[in-house]
Amino acid sequence: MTGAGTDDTPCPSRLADRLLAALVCVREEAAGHPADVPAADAAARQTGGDFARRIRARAAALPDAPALRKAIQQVLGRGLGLLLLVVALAGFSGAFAAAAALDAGPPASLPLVLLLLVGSNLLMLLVWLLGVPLSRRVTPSLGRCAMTLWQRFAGGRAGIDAGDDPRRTVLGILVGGASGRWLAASLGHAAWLSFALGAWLSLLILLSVRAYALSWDTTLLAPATVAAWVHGLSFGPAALGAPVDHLFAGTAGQTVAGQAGAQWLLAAALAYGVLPRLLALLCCGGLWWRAQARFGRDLQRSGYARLRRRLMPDRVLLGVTDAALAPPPAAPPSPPEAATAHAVPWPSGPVLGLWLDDAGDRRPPALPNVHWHGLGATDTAAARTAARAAVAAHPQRPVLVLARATMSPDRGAERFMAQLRSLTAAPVQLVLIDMDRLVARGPAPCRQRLADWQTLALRAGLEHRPLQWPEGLA
Amino acid sequence: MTAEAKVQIAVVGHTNTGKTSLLRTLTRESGFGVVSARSASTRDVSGVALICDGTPALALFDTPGLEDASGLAEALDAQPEAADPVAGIEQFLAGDHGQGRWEQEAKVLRQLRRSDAALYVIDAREPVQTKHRDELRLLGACGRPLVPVLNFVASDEADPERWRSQLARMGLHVQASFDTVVYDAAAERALFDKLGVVLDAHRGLLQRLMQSREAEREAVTLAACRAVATMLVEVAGQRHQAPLHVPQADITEALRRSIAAAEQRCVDAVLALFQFDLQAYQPPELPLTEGRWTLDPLDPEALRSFGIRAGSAAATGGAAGVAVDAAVGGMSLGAATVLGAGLGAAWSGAQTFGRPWLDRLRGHQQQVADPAILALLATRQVALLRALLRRGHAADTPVQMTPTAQGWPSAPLRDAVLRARHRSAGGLAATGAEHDTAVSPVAHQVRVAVGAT
Ligand SMILES: Nc1nc2c(ncn2[C@@H]2O[C@H](COP(=O)(O)OP(=O)(O)O)[C@@H](O)[C@H]2O)c(=O)[nH]1
Ligand SMILES: [Mg+2]
Repeated sequence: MTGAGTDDTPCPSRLADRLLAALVCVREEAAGHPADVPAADAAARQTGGDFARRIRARAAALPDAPALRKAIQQVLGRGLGLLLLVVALAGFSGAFAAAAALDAGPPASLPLVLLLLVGSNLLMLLVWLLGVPLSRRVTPSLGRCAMTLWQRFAGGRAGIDAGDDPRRTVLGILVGGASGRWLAASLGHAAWLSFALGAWLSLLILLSVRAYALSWDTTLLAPATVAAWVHGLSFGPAALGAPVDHLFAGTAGQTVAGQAGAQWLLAAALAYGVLPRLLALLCCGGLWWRAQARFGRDLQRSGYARLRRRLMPDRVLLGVTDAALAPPPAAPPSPPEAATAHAVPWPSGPVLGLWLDDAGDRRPPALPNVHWHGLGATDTAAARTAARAAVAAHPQRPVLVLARATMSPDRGAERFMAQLRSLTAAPVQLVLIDMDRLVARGPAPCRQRLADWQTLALRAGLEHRPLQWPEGLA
Repeated sequence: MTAEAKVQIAVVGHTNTGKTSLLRTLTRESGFGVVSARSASTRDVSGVALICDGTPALALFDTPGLEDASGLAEALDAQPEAADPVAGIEQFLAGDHGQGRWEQEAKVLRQLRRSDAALYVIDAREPVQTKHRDELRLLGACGRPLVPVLNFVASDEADPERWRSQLARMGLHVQASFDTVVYDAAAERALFDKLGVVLDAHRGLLQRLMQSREAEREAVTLAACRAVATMLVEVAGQRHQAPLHVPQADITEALRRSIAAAEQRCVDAVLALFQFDLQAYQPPELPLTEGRWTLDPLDPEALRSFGIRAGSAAATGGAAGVAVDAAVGGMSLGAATVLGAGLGAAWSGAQTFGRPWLDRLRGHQQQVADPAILALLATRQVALLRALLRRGHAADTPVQMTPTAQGWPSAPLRDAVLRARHRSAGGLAATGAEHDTAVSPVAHQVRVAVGAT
């Protein structure tokens, strides 16, 4: 998934740092491109480590990081406040529910107490469990609901422009997707755990300091049925070490629950109320922890992926290591109209022809009244020496240099033609052949190449013969 | 980063054969040097080091073109006799380079003497000539391995076979083919492999470098697919709302503008990911004339997407029902399953068909992107990704794409987008984490549609 193999090993980082990286990513994706802060990029490269770590370092080094951090702290602080509030309320309501259930006597009914304190808790746990497969669908709405609430709340109080409030974005990151799913579940479990603990503590204190008349009796069920139920439910309390054998000290059809019954009740409230929720809370908390560990690590998101080149460069420019000494030779002035006006006519009679490069045994173009002589290739040192000798031997004979139009006009050709020019008194002209191949490369390259040949011919001092623009290109 | 790279490679050749272009493509640095179809566009030696595992591994040096190898060969022959060819070259380099006449050639030879090997770039459209022989003799005298690289091989005019046999006659059997404009990942790998053949001591390093570059390329491709998927899901989920009295054309125009902006952002992100100029591609105008309810009950696309949706909602409801049945020990004889499935389907249907009417009642009208527009966006982006995967960083013309065919690039992609449409309703922008549920399946389908890198 990632380029360098080291990217997958998580390294310890704080939630706030990861949130900061995710926040910056969301913001930069919305802006369309990552912010250009070379100092932050340099700081990230300095930090080293894997890509995710460099992303966090960059986010932390951005100029507005302190403000964003503050926003994150605010959201986390408020979230924690909300959590504490809910937990406290649930704890109190658990305590009150326990007190109320015990006071619904005398005698206080043990089945009722159990049903109130543990039954509702377990039922809601079951409902939640059934909802887990649906939660992928439900939480997006939950998240949006939280966002709307936040908007109303924050917008109403401070008149904050909801659109670019970083706190809103942080909240969005926290309550979106898997994180939101498990965060909501953890909050619920924490509240119910607090309810169960409050109820248990309240039971413990009240049963320790007051004498309650406790009874197993119900209106409908026969004592034997109740006993069967209680036995059925006893494995939890038994596991916690509560007495389960002599629970029913029945006299005259009444099943009075004594100290053993109270112990059983406490153990059952612990086993069926506190422990399942504790377990669920641990699971969901763990899942949330795993989900939030992915903040700032989803390296395929374009907000992160676009930083890769900057933070983990795969190349470095070495710059010029051997600079050119002289500026490029200036092109000689060649006003095309003037050149056309002074166009030199084609030579006639015996003409010395030279291929500028090795063109094999091709036939030269048929020109009126031109008798070709020579026509060797001149692209090696030896051939050029021979050609120079041939030109010098007939100083009155015109010279036509044939070049493929697709060849790159280079200094070697220019130098050679300049030498030929200096060796003869007759005109030396350049003839381009294979124009059709040049034309096939498109009008712009064609025009460019012809102009370059023209310049080269001028620089070499050849008799000027404007090169023919192919049909339709001029 | 200032440490010297372990392997130094000089890129040499006749003028205008694409040496600078080769450097651009191999280093993904589209701004490197000057590329032009004229001679002597590069006049100094400059380099780029490729980094592997955090340290510079391979430095490539661009050199001026050889323009007068024959003249220089003559001058070298005229030099006082040297012990061996390399000594002859050293002697030439120590001199005044023919009063500056062969300054450019001297730079090439000096760089080659400093390097471990050279890539000899050839314009494969040119016929094989004696001047190449002169050039190769000169370069060979530097005592460094040469790997000929046949450039322009994607051109019709190129005749790589002739070149190969001619080069073999000159004793150069390790050759590579490349086209700096039409990129081919396999050709690049082969090029590095060939370098590994002549630089046996560094073969492991070259292989590691190649692997890390391939991994990087795949990561970039995935990220680009992800960007496209995010755009598609976002556009699919966009709902443009307005009070009833606003003319429909105004809403359509607003929708069109926001979709075009989303596409432009996506194109920018994709080009930036592949490190191409942002000017390399401009998406053409969207032919959006009319937004409409996606879920017009007669629209086959809509019916299909509804089918998918009702199906999965019913499945979820059914699953919940099964759980209830199990919890009550099967006493409800599966009634809960049936009930759950029915409720799931009803919920989904109400969301789909009820919402528009609810909005109407509240005095709103709403428009969403036409599925045809989604199809067009998807097809265009997939074609762009394909084109970019075949584009070398030396290319200087805009991305050319043949007019895209009607319809979706693939049926699974269509299904994934239409499915995500409901999940993303209301926008993804703020909640980054919704990506995993809505975007990932679409990104996967985009990757499949794009094909091999
Ligand atoms: N079609 C095509 N054009 C190329 C290729 N390589 C280079 N070019 C073009 O050839 C010309 C010369 O390229 P450049 O890199 O400047 O050559 P250099 O002088 O050797 O550095 C430029 O116009 C490039 O766009 C290729 O592989 N295919
Ligand atoms: Mg160049």
